[in-house]
Amino acid sequence: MSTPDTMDEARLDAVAATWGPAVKAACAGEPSPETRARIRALAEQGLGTRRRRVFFARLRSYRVSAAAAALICATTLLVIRPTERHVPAHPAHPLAALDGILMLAASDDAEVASYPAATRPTRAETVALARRLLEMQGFLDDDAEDIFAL
Amino acid sequence: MAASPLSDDEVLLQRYRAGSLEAFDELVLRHSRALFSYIRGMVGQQEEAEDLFQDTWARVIRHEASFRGGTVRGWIWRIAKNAVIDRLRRHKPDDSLDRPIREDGLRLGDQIAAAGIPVPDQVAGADIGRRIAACVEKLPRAQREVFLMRTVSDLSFNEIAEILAIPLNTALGRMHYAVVRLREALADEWRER
Repeated sequence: MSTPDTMDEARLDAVAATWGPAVKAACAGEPSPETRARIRALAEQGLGTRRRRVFFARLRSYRVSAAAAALICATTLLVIRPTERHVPAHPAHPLAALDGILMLAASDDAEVASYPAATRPTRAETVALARRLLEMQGFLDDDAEDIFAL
Repeated sequence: MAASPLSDDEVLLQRYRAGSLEAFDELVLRHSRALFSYIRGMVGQQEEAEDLFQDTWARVIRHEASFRGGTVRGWIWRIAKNAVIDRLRRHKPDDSLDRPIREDGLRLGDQIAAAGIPVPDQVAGADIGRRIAACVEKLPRAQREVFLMRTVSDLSFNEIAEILAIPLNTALGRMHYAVVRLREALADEWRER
């Protein structure tokens, strides 16, 4: 395609330079102070938005570490949390109660010499006491009788 | 290879990104007159130009992170051009410079020609100013765009070609045809020195 000389860049630049002042005088203008103020307010908002965006972008880079830390903390809390001691509403197992009674009976054999003679229980008294305690708790059964028979 | 030094506009944009509102004010001030004149030349009405001027800077603020290459000035003008085109597409101008805006017959063109001119020149050149504004407004949009960018905004043809995403020769051609039309329209009142 042939290029006419009027399309020459330098020539058109010269034309623009010649016409420029008159065209500017005819067409130029300025925005109002109100518009400038609104743009400034928008710029201020934009800065706030940018700060938030940067903050969340930084946060995102730590999200894997943060998730792992949160998981570890949650697990640790679950493990070490204080729990209420379980108090059974029903009587102890008969054998456990029997153990206690037998210990009481066995104490009859221990250090009896140190007891005052008046307070020293006889074996028959100890067994009778144990039998009575078991009976009160409803644990007197064949097993208990077998043990007492030993 | 050493990185090319940043232009003043780029420095201002970086300072704004770093939190300086004053830097943004300065950026707006630097381009205020040239950008506003281009926009007003394209849409023809002060009020609409104010809206578009604000819209342009709002888009600059919203998309400041998207600026990566080229010149800041070219980027801002590209945004302004898009804003203008969006507006022109939404509603065709229903106003004319010849429309009377007061009962005494004052026309819209009188108002446009009056802005930004010192008072003595305004009195002497009110008519020619009105004629120029009217003729520029009548140019086809593509020619008017190039003509205003070159004469009012002082952009180079290379910058204009880049902003409009057209070949340099196309930009030169549009300017050429715009000048031819204006010469014809203004033959009686105004001649090139």
